[in-house]
Amino acid sequence: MKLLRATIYGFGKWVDYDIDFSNQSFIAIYGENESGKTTIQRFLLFILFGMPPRQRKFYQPKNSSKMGGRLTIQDDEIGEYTIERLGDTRNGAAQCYTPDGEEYEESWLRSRLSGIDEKTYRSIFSFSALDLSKLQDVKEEDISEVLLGIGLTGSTRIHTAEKKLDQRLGDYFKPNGKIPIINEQLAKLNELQRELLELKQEESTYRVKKNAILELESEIELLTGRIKSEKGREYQLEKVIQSLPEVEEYINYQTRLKAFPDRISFPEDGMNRYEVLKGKLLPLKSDIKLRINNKNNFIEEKKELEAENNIFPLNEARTIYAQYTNYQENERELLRIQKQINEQDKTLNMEIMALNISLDKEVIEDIYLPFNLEKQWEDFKREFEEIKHDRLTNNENTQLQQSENNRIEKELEHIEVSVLSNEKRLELKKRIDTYKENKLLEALQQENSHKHKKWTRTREQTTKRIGLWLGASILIGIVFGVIGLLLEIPFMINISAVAIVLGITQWMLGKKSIKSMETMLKESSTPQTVELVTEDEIERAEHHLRIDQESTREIEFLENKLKDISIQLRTLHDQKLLLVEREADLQRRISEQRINYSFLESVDVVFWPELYRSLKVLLQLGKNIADLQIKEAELKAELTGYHNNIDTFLQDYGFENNAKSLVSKLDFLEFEINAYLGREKEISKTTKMLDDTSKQLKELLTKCEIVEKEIKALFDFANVQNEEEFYQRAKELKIQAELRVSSEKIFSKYSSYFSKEEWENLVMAPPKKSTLELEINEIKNEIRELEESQDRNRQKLANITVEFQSLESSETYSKMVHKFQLEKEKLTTLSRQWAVYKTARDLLAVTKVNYRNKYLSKVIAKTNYFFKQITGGNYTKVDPPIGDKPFTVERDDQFRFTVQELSQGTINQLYVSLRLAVSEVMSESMHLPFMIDDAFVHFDDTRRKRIMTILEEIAKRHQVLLFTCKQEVLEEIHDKSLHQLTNRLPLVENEW
Amino acid sequence: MEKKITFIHAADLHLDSPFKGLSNIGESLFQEIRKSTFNALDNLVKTAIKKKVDFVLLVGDLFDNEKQSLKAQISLRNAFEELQRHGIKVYLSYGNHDYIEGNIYPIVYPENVHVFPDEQVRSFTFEKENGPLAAIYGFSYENRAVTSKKVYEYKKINRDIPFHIATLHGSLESNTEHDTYAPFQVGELMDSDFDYWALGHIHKREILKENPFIIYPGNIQGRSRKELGEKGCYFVEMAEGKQTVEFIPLQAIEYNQLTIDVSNCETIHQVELVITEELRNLHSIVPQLLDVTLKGKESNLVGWKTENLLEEIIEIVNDSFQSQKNWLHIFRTTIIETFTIEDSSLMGEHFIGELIANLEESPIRDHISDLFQHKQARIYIDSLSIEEEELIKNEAKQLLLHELLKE
Repeated sequence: MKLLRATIYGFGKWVDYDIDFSNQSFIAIYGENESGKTTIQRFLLFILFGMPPRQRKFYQPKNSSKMGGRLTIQDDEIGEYTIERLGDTRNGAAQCYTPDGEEYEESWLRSRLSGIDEKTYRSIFSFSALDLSKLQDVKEEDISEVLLGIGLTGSTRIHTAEKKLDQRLGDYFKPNGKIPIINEQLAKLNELQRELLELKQEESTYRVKKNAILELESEIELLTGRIKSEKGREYQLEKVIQSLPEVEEYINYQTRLKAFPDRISFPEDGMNRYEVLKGKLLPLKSDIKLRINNKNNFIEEKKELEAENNIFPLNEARTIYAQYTNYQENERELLRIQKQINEQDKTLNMEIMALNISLDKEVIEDIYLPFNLEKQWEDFKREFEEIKHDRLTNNENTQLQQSENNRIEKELEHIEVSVLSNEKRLELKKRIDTYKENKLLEALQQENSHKHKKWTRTREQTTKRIGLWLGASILIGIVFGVIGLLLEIPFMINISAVAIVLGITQWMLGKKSIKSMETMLKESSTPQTVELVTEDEIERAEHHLRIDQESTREIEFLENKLKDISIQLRTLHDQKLLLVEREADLQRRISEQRINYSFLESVDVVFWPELYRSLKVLLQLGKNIADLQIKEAELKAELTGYHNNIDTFLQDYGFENNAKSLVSKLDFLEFEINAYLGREKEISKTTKMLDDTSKQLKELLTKCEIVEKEIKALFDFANVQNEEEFYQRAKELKIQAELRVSSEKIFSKYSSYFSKEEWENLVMAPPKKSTLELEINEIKNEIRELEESQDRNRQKLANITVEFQSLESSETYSKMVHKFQLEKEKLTTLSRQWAVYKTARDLLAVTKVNYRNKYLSKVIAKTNYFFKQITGGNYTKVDPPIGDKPFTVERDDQFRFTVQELSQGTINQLYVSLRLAVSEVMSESMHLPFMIDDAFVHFDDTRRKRIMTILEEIAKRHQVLLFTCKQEVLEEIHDKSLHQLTNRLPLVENEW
Repeated sequence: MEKKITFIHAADLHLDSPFKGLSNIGESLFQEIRKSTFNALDNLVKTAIKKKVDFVLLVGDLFDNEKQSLKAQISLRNAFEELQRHGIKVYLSYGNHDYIEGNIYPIVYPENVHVFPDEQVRSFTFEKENGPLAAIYGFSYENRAVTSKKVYEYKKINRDIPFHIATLHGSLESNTEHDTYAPFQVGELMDSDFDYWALGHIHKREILKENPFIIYPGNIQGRSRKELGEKGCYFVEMAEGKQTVEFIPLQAIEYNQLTIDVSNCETIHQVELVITEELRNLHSIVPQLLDVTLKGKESNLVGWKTENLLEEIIEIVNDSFQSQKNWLHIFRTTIIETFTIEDSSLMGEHFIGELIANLEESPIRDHISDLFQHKQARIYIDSLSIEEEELIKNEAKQLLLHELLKE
């Protein structure tokens, strides 16, 4: 979009004034201070965005009624159109005219201007020196914020709004606070809620109270009933007490009546009839009694006698008595046997004494001599003697052999002395051998001397020959040598040398063979030192050797004999050892016997057979004695048995007997037997008397029976057993009648007080008077208690009823409910308001972030570019704030500075860069001209030039209107030949 | 003699239930408001006595179990006793708010009161001059809800009785605005051949149908800003072949809405004057609780509101109207601004545009959780309805625009 021309009808100091922007992109409007630059600026804004009435009034020209003007615009989309706006018509609304003659309203214009208003426009597309000076007022830490906020529809306002909202939110509510109003309200509600609950609790006691009232009422009713019934009971009991004595009487009668059967049977005139019969019966009875007594006496007597005889065992007594004869015989036999035993015992003792060995009677009884023992003991004896004999023989033989041995050893010693020593024998033999050798050597020496003679000759010949050879060759050598020297012929000299050498060689060879020949001669010459032995000596030596040989043979013979004897001795020794062993064996067996038969200890084995035979006799004797002793014992037993029999008998049958001796006992026995027989006779006598008495008794009983039968008939009728009962019955009959009468009398007296049933109960279990009185007391107490609790209940009921009624009329809870609701509503209102603030606050924050994110990168990129340009490359980079970090810039030497660290000048440059960047970015969608009002007043020349360059660059894309009062700026523009200068504009000022 | 009955049909007394949406009221107003439901009941009794009706029908929700005060029932009993003294019978049923199981106070009503005892549809016979004259049908809620269709359970008991009147606490099947209890359709009621359908449950009075009459009498005292205007009962006269109904207002206090144009006001003082003038012209016969909407052109209103100036002048106005007998009280103020910049023109790349876009996009729940999810506050603050959220959003927007664009 581009401004083409403006016509001011009237605006501030300007009236009827035209400005032609001449379709230029970069226009500078120059004027001194107070020249009306700003007014033109305001005019342009007025045409574009309108103005509120008051401001319109402010710009009403003093000298003209017209207020308003026209502005022709080149639009990218629809081409050229003209806006007309007048102060007084259409309430300041615009009228737009397009070249095709169409007219449009304000809203059309607004949409053409992308919907922005003046404020937005100014914040994005226009800035002035004023903005920069404001920047200086901003606190350091906020600079970053302000810088960023450029173009964000008045960032300061966002900032203030945010702060304001935060403040409000803080006033309203803090999650953990107490003072903010919502927190306060919450606390209040909590309190009310608590109170409400308490009141509700109180009101809910209504039901409890109601129930209590109902309960009390029913209890009072119940109690009244109880009191009434208790009182009735008390009256009843008192009557019972009154009647108690007679009741007891009645019970007594009744009890007694109960003892009788309903009907008592009794014979007519029974008593008198009975008296008569009784008079008859009595004498009979006394007679019978007498007889019976007698009879009983007899029976008793008889019984006693029979009992006595029954106790006594007659047969046994007789048998024992008879056995006495036998006893006497046995006694005699015993005496005889005892005598025999004594005799034999004596004999035995004597025999044992005779043996005189350690043997006594007791041992003999235990000794047992088996049948083979005699043989065994004889064997022992024989063997013992045999061994003794063999040992003797052996000893003798040994001594014999030893003496033989000694003899031979002596002889051998003797011979050994005459035997030659070995050296001697060898010497003799050598001498004989030497003699024989000498004879052989003599023959060999003769041959050797012959040979020696022959060699000597040969040597002399050889010596001669070699001498000759030497002389000849030397001669030849000299000859030729002289010739050669003389004739000067070398050949000759050589020959002489060869001849001499040959001669010498021949000589040396000859000498050598002579030397070897001499050696051979020396060897063949042997010494001739020979010992001389005589014939005698030889013969003597040979004789000596012969004797020596004989002695040697004799020694050999004797030595053989010695060997034989030693063999013999060894055999004897072995025999001896065997004997010792046998003896030991025998001794062992003997001692075995001795252990078995201790009496053998002191008896030599040799006498054992004899001892055996004596022992045999002794044993026989011992056995006899033992037999007799057995018999004795048997007899004694028999006698004792008899004694015992008697004692047992006496004891068993309980005879108390002081008799100690057997004879007295037997006497006692005899006496008893006689007593028994006497009693037999007595018994038969008593039996007869008994029979008589029985007969008399029988007669009497028959008489008595008749009378008794008659009495029985009376008893039977009265249903009794005896006379007593009969009398009793008669009496009962009388009493029964009397009792019935009395009972009836009492019963009829009380029949009016008690029902039949009650009377029966009373009679059945008559209460004690004390119990009744106690009961009455209790009842009285209970009545009193009941009446008291009745009073209490009535009081309680009255109280509760009052409470109940007061609850019914109470409004406290109702009031509280309403109040609570009211406060709750208040909280709701507050919370809604808070919600509005909170939503607004959050929204603002979110939008800010989004907005920045959306434009920041673009703006920063542009800013970078401009900042670098303006600072002439001093600064290369700008970084937007991140989190708490403010704006930072990077210098060309890579040093970084936060915005606070920058100089005011640099901050201004940064600000301008940002503004330009924002405008550029925004104008991408909103093609509006930039208006810059002396923003660079404080820039030096260099910077200004740089700025101008940038502006020119921007102008290529957007129209730029630069308002300035600086000549320097104009010059800058002058120099740009590409752009027309605008100083030719006739800035005719009206008189103001 | 011509057979004729007269009765009063009322429902939803909600005795002693607190008002909704009231926060800043003085003590004397508070007391009056608190007593208003009882006063309305008094009015009902007086009307019944004055009209010499045969009986009174009370179709459910006489009080609230949730916030049941003993006073509610005592005053009810007192009212019944008063009616008894004048020989007027009462037929009442319990509804979803005063269901039987939830009633904690065992109040015994006088003998002239006939209570439908359970959820079974039962009937009472009204006798006059020794003959049955009317049969009254109905049932009570035993528990918080009756969701079954009860209409089919209504059967005439004796065709010789001249008038058959059915009471039903429930809602139209098609009505989804309220909790639907004991649902019915108008056609179903018409088919059932009763002479009068006395309905309850819906607080807005409405004659659903004439001949026979099917009527919601509404509640007798408005208790929130949604229950506007006159509230009361129907006075019904029935003769053979002829029925007349007449609405009789009973409310002690009235809720009303008022829209005041303050677009010409440049200062807050002017606003005060305009409001006072408007209120003065109301000439109401009962005290009024007013929900005022202020209409303004510029963003002044938002500014005044933000600065709490609006609140202050409303308080002043309220004070000045409080002392008169039929007092007036503005309990709520809403502002509507005809904003000069169109939303569409605010869009685009500007910050405001960005802001509005964000506002449209983001739900406010995330922003407000600090308080609305606060452990303690949650107990007392109801969660926001979508409508309320929109309101808050809108207010936030207004506020921000005001703050960002103000001169």
